[in-house]
Amino acid sequence: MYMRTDALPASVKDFLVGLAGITQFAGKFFRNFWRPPFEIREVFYHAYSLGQKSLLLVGITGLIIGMVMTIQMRPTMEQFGATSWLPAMVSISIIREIGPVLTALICAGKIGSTIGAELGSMKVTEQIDAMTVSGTNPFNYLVTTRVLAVTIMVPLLTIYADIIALFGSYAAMNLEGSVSFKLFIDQSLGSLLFSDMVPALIKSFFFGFAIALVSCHQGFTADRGTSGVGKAANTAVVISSLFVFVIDLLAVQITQLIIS
Amino acid sequence: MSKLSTSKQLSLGAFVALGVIIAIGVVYYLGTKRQWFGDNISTYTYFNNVSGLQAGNNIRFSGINVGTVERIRLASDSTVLVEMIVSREASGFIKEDSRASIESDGLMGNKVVSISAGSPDAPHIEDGDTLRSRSPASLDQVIASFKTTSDNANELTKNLRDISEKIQNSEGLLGKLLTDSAMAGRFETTLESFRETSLNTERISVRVSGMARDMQYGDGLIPRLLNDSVMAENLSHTMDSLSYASRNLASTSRKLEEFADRLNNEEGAVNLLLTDSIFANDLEKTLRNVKDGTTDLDELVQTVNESWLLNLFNGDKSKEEDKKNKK
Amino acid sequence: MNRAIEVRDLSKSFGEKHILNRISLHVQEGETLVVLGRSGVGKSVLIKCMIRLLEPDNGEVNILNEDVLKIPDGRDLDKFRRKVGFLFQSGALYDSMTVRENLRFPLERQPDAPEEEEIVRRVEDVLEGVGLSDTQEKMPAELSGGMKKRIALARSLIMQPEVMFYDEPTTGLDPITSTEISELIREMKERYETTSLIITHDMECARITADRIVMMKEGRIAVEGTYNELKENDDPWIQAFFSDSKKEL
Repeated sequence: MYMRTDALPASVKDFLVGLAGITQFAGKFFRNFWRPPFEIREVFYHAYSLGQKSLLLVGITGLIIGMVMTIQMRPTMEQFGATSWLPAMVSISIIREIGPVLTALICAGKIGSTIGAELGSMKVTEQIDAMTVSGTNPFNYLVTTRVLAVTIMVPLLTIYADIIALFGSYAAMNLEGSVSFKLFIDQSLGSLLFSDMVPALIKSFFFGFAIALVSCHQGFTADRGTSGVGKAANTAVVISSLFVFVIDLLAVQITQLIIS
Repeated sequence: MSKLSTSKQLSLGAFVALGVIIAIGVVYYLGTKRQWFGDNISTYTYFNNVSGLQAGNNIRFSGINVGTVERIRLASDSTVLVEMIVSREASGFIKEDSRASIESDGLMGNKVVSISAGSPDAPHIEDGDTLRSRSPASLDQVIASFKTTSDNANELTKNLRDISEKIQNSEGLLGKLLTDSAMAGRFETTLESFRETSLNTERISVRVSGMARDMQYGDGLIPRLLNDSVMAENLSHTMDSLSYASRNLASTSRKLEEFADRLNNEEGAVNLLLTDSIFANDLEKTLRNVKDGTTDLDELVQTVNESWLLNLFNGDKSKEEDKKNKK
Repeated sequence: MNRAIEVRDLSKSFGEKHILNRISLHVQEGETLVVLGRSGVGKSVLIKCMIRLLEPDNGEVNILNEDVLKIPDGRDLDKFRRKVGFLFQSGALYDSMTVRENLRFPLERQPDAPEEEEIVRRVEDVLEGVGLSDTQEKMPAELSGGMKKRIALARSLIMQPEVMFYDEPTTGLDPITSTEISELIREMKERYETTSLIITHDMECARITADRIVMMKEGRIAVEGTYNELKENDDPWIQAFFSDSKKEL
């Protein structure tokens, strides 16, 4: 039985086709992952240019979020007479949720647009086709390397963001009252469990994977013309941000199931 | 091909290495906190109620953290098994008769399992040992005080009986006795303390039955653990008879007070009263009632002590104390 | 002589639009065939179908005795493609890499990649062939249009393909450069003895490079012949090409 595809609205069709494309892309990633040549140097390059170069942005955001959260939470905690719980509250919310998701969103913006534009313009100027016809697998060179690099770098960036956010929180805590660094570390890290940290780290791997995969897919399927490049960069950011939230939603449920 | 310059490669390497080191550092930090990487022993304890204790909460011994709660699971419908990981170093100081109890760490704090110091000459615990727990509510203390009260009541009754016997048997002595102001004063004091005792008893019994109500319906300190229906029925039954007994005691004491008032205030009537055999019988009966009441009470307390309440809260100790008290 | 390329009844549609309509052509070994046609007639689609950048709907493509459309995607297809060179309309140089890296890129990534010295030698060799020996360290953005085309040609030739496809090699270049590129194509063909198929609408290019010309119309071959034969044909549709290309100049 055939489905009458023309009965579906165009937007739904586009969505389903896009989803299928991303799924196929993921499959292709895992097939190509084991296939030589291994572009290790390229992985390092992208790890640097996509990952490490985002550190400043991620760090600044983390610092600010850590400070803001502490300052915002303080009055409420004071009402309960539980200011001593502030470090624990802040650290749990940062490590569990805000650190990974915020980092992922920033990376979706920065890395996603970079990848979308890079690969989009390569697609548009036939560079990807040129690789294909020269018998070198462009997927391996362009996609596998980027996906691998970003999948590794996003969790690392998350760790940095977490640490910097905690530092911001510590700084904000010392705006009013004073907390010794050791006490802060003891209280903030001391209230953490493995079940706070490990799922957060695991999900940030998935964030990185999704961001890179979606962005590469958008770049690879860019329309002809310069507008295609812009559109690829744009949709790369939008869809990968969306994926981050969907994964987050899944991750929180899975974590709950596993822990309880 | 995008090649990285050496300095960029260095910074990338540093970036990755530092990130991994931080991750490992935090994991290790949490690990030592959870005692995963140290030399540890497992020990177990049973609670009727863990009051929201969670895996990962701290174990305290003499106020310092010596381990964490590894696992909590239901062992039966009214007991919870708590598996604890305790550092081997600290386990040398935890004795087999140490007791585990659940405490709150501050007002809004986490729950902690607190292990009390045992007796110095008891052997220390080994891996896999089970510690006895202490109930969160000190119900056995209430029972103990109840017992003391009823013992007192018993003694008072005996005194009263002695007095009444003297009144009955040696009439010559009675006149002297009743005119002896010091003796009368003593009698009055006795009565007063008797009244107090019975009030005390009543108060305790009200408190106990209030607790029982809490246990059955409420959300008090000992909520679900006692939700065994048989036990609850048993409890309410016991409480009924307990309050009946104490009411009895109170009315008896009122009568006695009346009697004493007459003795004290109506001097002229004293002889008359004392020669009136009906009244004497009356008095005798009253005193017997009192005696019966207190004996009932005593028995009741004994039953309560020996039955579920003590088993529930591991009250072997208080039982022994009771025995000592009796002796 | 053997037929290096043989296309039979090739069809390709995009939706309702039939771009290729049962087109058939062949190229002899060592021969240069020019496919002429107006823009939008499906020339680019034709050669992209021939190397499987696009999947045709129907038909048969036989290149170097291989049934191209039946090669399984993956390693086998890559292996086939390494025997074929393709010059893109835009050149399609990898603009994140220097000229040298561009040239080395396909060479290094062969399963049986040559020795380092051999790679270096071949890079120098092809660069010299296209007359741009001093551009090794340059980025594509620093090169002019004609130089880009030459480098792109060099990049295709470095794989020493047995068959070359050229997609509009002279488009977007000034007439002098166009002529230069056309002559370079002929020179390279003679040097490496490759079978070539050139897609163009540039009559000048066709004149310089072609052994034989076919003209496409409505998704199929309309006319076939040498440059001179076609020039002497009275058909106004054919003559339009000759005048068109002059106008374009």
